[in-house]
Amino acid sequence: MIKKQGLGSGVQGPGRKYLFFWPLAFGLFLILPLIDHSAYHQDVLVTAGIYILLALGLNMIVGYAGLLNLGYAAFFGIGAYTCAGLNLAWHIPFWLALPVAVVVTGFFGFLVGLPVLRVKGDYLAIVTLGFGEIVRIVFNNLDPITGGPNGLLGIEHPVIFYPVFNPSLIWKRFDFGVSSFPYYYLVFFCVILVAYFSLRLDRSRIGRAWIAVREDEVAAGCMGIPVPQVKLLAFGVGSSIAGIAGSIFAAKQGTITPDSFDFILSVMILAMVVLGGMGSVPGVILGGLVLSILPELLREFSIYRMLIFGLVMILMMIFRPQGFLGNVRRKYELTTR
Amino acid sequence: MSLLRVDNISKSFGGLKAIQNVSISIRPGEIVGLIGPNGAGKTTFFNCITGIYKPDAGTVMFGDYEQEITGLVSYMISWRGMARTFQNIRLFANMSVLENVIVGAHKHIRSSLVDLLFPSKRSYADEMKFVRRAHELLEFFGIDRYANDLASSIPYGSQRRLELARALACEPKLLLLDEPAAGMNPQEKQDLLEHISEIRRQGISILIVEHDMKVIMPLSDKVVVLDHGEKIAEGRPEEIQKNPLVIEAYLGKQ
Repeated sequence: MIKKQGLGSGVQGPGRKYLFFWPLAFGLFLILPLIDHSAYHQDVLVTAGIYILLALGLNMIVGYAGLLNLGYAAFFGIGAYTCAGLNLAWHIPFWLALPVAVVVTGFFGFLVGLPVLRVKGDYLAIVTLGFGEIVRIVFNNLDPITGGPNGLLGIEHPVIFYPVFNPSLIWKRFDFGVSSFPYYYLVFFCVILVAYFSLRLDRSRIGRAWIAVREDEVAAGCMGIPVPQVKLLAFGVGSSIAGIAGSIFAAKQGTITPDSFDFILSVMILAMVVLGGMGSVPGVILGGLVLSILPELLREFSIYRMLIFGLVMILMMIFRPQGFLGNVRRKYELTTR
Repeated sequence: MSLLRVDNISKSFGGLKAIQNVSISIRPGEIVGLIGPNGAGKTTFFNCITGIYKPDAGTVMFGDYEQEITGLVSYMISWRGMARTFQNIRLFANMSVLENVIVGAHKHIRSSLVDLLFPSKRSYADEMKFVRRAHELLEFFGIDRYANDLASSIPYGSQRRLELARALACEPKLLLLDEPAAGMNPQEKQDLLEHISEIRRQGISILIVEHDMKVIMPLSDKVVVLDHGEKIAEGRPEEIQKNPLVIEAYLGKQ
């Protein structure tokens, strides 16, 4: 029943008058690590950023195309293992491994999409759940490639070279290392890029086709939308975003193990999408931010932490089922008539 | 030379023979009415032609070169130039009225994933062309003032018109209307008649299922009558009205 909830609160919903808020939030998060030097805060925000990337990717599949996916963590894992594997086996630097991981993850999304085209709704959820578990178990048991339960160790951190004139041109090497600071900006940039891409999708031919398929598959088909292709594209594109998140995760941690990509993570990402407002990009970002920071804020309540966390989610779904920001269909402005 | 030629199609659901050996042909520019009592198989017939169901037997030929489209999936049939509306309105409820119409133009809009990352003047102009076209269609049906409302929030009669506008956005050669006047008041029905006549003047052929004879009779060049899944009569509207078999199907034996 998730499909029908959290959608639609008018075309020009109440969100419109708060438009000034987003540049403000952008500015704040841009300078935040320069003001707040706490390594802990920066680390939490990097993790939040990775979750937001995942939530934005899943939003394309669940929010736009209406295809319930309970195995999204598997794609996060595939992205992370691809990036890590390329680096460990052939010393391929992060910046080259990242696009490869994105393509590989997208390809796996496409592959999962193929059998999944025949099933809908609840059945689709079960198939994707099964896929998620299979991937995790493969990571756990394919020791020669994935290192089994110990995972992959010693993944190189990203390195960039920048020019310095001193007095002649020299290229200086900067290693991202273990500090969260450089990763913060890497994640920040990726979130902005993926959010922009999502917003463009939302009102493009492809995004409209996804939403039409979500709303009524039969009618969409009769209106000339190639439903199978459109669904596969949603799976492929949505999954490839997890490849970005996975690569950054692997490069930052330096170590990845199969249990980082379990079912609970898939559910958490789905919760971020639903809580934020399915199909709404600002909503999903907010949902990701809240759900990754809230458990940290609740740390002082120690053992009651997850209890309060669960309670907040239940209350939210009772009193605001459409999420923080429901999907608002924006008005089309005709500029050239 | 016909635009649509259906030869002896049949469709059963388990033991129920929904339609049996029904044939029909539509010439370019023609309006054909399809009538019959409830459960006669009219909607099943529509679904078999538009690719929602696969007919068990028979052939469907469509287009200028009479290509076979039997058993193709619905989007392929739509691409060949056939658009339809639904008896129980099937709009994209959580999209705006305007977006519903733009979806109809899906195959005519050229834009790729690359255009999304790097917006170009060309893709923007292309998109705007269809936004304008959608506004024109909404204006034609007098519902442009709802353009930015959610499709589910507009009045029932306007939703029916929106379905028509969406179908026309596909730029069809043949338009299939499944009870377009259902639930409309007399004034709305009158408007609908004028709209359908205007659509025909643009060269689009129409196959229309309808219960209201005040709609069918003045519009149709030819009327086909289904009863219990079989074609029992075909002819000009005034002939059909006098046909004893048709009267029997609707009113029973004297």
